[in-house]
Amino acid sequence: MKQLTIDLQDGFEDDTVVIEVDGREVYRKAHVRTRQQIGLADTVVAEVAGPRPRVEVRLLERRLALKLEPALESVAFLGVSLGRDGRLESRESAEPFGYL
Amino acid sequence: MTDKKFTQTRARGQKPAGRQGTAAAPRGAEPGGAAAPARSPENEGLFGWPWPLHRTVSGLYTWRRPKWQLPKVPSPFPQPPEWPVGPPPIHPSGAPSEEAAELASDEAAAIRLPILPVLHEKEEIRLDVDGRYPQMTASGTRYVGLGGQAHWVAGLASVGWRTWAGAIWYRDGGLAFPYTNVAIRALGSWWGPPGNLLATFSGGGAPTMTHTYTYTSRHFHPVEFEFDTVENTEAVTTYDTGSHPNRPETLPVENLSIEQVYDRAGFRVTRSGGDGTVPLQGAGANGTWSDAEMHDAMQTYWSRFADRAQWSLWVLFAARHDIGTGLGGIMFDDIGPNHRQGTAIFNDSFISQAPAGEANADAWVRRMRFWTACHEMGHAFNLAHSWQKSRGTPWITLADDPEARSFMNYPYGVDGGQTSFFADFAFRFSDPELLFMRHAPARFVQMGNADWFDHHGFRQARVSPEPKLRLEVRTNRERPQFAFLEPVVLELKLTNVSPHPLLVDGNLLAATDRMTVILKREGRPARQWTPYARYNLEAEPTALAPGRSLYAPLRVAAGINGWDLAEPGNYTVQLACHVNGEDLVSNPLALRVSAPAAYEEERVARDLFSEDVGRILAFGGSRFLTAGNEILDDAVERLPKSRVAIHARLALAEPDTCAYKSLELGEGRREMTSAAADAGRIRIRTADVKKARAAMDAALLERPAEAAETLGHVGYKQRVDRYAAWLTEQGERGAAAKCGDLARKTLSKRGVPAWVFEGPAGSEARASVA
Repeated sequence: MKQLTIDLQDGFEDDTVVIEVDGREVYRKAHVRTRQQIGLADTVVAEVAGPRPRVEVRLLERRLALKLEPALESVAFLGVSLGRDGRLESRESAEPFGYL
Repeated sequence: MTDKKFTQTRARGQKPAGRQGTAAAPRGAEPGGAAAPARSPENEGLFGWPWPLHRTVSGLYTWRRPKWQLPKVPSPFPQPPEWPVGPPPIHPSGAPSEEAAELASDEAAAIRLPILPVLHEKEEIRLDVDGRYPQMTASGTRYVGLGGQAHWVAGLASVGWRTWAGAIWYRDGGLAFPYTNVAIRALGSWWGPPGNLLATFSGGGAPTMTHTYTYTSRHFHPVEFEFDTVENTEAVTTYDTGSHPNRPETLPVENLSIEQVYDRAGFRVTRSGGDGTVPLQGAGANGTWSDAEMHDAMQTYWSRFADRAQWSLWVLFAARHDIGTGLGGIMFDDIGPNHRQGTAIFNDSFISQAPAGEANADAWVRRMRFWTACHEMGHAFNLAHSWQKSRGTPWITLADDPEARSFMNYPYGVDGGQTSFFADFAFRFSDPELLFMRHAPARFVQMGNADWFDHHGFRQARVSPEPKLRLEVRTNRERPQFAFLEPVVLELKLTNVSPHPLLVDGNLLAATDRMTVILKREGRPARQWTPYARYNLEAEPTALAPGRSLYAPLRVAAGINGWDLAEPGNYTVQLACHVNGEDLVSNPLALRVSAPAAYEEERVARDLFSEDVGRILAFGGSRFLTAGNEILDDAVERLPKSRVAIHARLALAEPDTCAYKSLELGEGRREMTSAAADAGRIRIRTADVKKARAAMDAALLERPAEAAETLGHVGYKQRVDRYAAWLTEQGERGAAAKCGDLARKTLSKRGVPAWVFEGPAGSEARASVA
């Protein structure tokens, strides 16, 4: 089993966020809010079995969803943000994200 | 050499009498590192040279009204002309020219009226036109009495030798400050100590005001730092800029200190003298720091801790945060009544892990730790990350700058990563950040004052120094005060202030997606108003003659973010939009929402501020949001004479004015299918003319003055025109004419000019004389 770390980063303002990995809910939390001074709201670590897990991030009140299939051989960290245009966007990294 | 009129108080090169040296060497200086140099900022000029070689004029200047001098009003007699734009005559002694002396003498020419009470009055000007990273800006604050204050900011351009002028693009504060332009001349000789400033304020319909300001400091604000270090941790407060080869070629090689970074940003930096060691046990059993533990440590070990705003900041150098190695530092103080007083840097994190293959690992690590300290301290000045400027609670239209070479941007977040960043980084803040730190109202920047992320972006609008258009937001009432529950409707006015006709989009003020509207309740973070819907309107080119304006109502009571103007209290509203290539920023409008006057109001309030009601009011009515309609019915029944009842009646009446078609489908959740397969049908609900007319008459005609005030003049005229047209369609021409007459009389009594009523019924007032 491998681990995938999902960081909820910029743009979250009192949102209810649900994250599913391979159809299994791994995270559900209300009032998710980005701490602007570090650009991070929350972090989830999910155990994944296959090489390309199906990740879905949903913001319930805003009715937004983002679906991803990161390749675990090169991606261990996923950053999800709500862009200024109101769309969910993601970043992938083999290394942990750093926050300041 | 000294000015004739403005005599220096000490001989050249002599320290001010009675002043002590500041910035004692810190106790906690790192081993082998240089102690912070002892400095006397007041006698340090450009490049660190002492007077008399001080060459810059930027800095803080002050004017005070003598304690017992009565306030002056401008003289009704002819005044000396303002100085012409161009090099003024220079007296060989450096004294002000006869012209300047004449201008300054208008103070003496003014009539002094016995206006009581006698008030303490003081003004400051921060001139920022030379020295380090000049912003070509002047800002000022006027203090009157015990709490009256007005703050202004102007962009400047050079208009002559040591003379600058520009438009005031920002105003803040409860004190009236009508001026729209400022002209500033630096007095004194260019090669001697700084002289005084002569500033003339004009425009805005107010008589010209000229004051002479005394040079006070080359810095814009003071700030004090205290560096505490957890035991067995190193504090990095200096960095040798030549130690790592990846740097700009033009970067001076020096042992740069944190104090110097902020000195160059315009602050007179001092140290508290309380630097010390914090025991690790404060981090608890796990040895890593939580935000709460850091708060406790700040209260215990910071020698300046106080529950109040002050220009003082605590910095903790520690090993690791509870989050882990992924957090290199944090401005942790975002709770409680006084934010932004404490920051922390975590050495045992990714900031101390040089990339694989880094040939100068030690220098890389030290640079990153130093950078992180300056970055986290920047948050305490209410600076956001470079890519976040448009988020959260922007005050003015902002632009994100993810490629900025600033302390506030992540080095690894730019194209090309940290290598690219540091190859082009001058160890400074960006110009917009400096503009904010130096010239924003002090409470936005000062630690412990405005909340974190409040006003951080302040301004990145490209406001022209010679604007052609002026954007105003206002209320059509004597005082900008709204009753509890009253939906707030404001009026927008766009005026051509240039001498030439301009072509603008006539639908501009109705296109809320092209403007940024900020609402701020006193003591709370500002929020951006987001309407329920954005209208994509075809541009309607409209010629706007000089002095003429466009108008539109702005209904900001509720939006996607909720009801931001519902609670009793003081608010500020400001907006910005981009028109014809320039950013326009409106005046900040201060308004008040009153407290409930009766129990019934509180009872209605429990349900009124819902999304359904907000949408019904925003869209002018709904047949389908039945729950919201019931709440509005209840409001009308309980508070029939209230302002909210006017809005509620109009919203309830609108759907009854015409036939409605609705698609009715079966109940319950079904898979998507055709309407026919789902036994769907179109139901036509006919208009209820009698009911609609009763509600419209009650809303618009029973108390017309109140309706005009609460709907706004433009909004009221629009509604009445629409109602009159509807009455005509129903065959009620007489009623339509009476309706129009009543509206005309009502608005005329409120000062609306007669031309507004010309044109066919139902037309909107668009262009007008300003």
